[in-house]
Amino acid sequence: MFSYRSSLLGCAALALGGLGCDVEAPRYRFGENLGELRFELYDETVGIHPSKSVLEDPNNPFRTWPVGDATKFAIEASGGDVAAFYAWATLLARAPYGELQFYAARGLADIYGSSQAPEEDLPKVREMAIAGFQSVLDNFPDAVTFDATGTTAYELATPSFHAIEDLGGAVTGGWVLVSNTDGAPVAVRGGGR
Amino acid sequence: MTDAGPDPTITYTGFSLKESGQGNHTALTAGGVLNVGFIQVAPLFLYQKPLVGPVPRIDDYFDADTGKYYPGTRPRNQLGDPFWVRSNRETVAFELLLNWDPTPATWLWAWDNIRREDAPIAASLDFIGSQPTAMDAALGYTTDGVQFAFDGSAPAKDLWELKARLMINPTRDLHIVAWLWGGNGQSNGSDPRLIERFGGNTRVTYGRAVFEGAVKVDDWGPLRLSPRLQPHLSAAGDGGRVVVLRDARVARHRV
Repeated sequence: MFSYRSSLLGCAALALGGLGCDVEAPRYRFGENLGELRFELYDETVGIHPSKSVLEDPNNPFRTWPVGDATKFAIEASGGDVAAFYAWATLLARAPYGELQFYAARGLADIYGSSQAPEEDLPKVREMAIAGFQSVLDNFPDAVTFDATGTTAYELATPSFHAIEDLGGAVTGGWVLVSNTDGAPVAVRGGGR
Repeated sequence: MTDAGPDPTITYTGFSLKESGQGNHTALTAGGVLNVGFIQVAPLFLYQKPLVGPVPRIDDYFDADTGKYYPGTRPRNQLGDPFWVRSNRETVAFELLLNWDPTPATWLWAWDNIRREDAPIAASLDFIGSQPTAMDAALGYTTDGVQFAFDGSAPAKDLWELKARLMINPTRDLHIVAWLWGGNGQSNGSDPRLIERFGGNTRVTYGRAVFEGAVKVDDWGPLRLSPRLQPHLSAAGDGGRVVVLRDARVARHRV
């Protein structure tokens, strides 16, 4: 008849035996050539706030690894449109703010403009770019970016408005273009939606 | 409702140094209280260590010449990992608490002592020194109210704090309590700054009237929701496309 003490000893033996099993050594991760990256449509909301599907996109090389503050600019400058889009979209999914959304949408627009997606997906990429710029207007209407001195702010609503029009889309949410005191067009949100 | 009313707990001394209430750690605390006349000496030693340590930050790298991207690592955070290390980071700390209470009948560390203390003068001096190590990332909020995890944490720094409490009761109706403090402090985010801060606050009670005031110098201010990053636009490049962007961190957690 089993005693309580012998049961405990038996369980301990099984546990220790399990701990002795071989553990697969972690794999080394080497550099990945971003120039070979091609855009593959995983989800229609990739790169559009508040979607975080880009973090699950198997084609996204940055989904499990952080993109550094300095590295994203290097990727933007020399990594190609697809890599730049995934970098901005990944950062947007982790810590969303307007400038990230703007450049993620611009990445989609660049992919569409240079036909870096399968031909059957290009119309959808265009719609996603429009939705991305619209997301800047809807979710980050006061988003700005700064010049190199960090003192002059540039609002992103007007460029987003123009980008939607350039892509042949229609701006929603009551946004209109008005002229400022200098005569330059500025996007503002009207009274209605 | 069941917890309402006075607290019958007898508190022998007012240690400030406590082990982290967070999981993923083991801790050792040892201290004592020695009463010598009206003086109380209370040293305390703390050592804690997480079961699973923090993840070091390793920056990623992109080689523009070869087009290769080398990923880095980032610290864990509360949202994504149960073994995140913050207050439970490996720490060696020491506290020395000195108290002067000529009327021990009114416990110096009772919960209502600032009202009940009847000594003409009672005081305490508390020094805390600690050597915390690295930790994982904390959470913050963008200007749009969206929660995010910082991409790093404050580095390991030696920290210290000196606090004093002075109670003066010149009359039965007049009670003056002053708290003074000074020390250094680290950001809760990823800012590596180590600030030197000091200040004090006072509570004066006369009869049923209570007057309070506080002064803080170079201390952390109210929560300021500021952009985590302020990207810059600089010269256009790469075939006429905008942009080469640069970051400039703004001062956070300061008013």
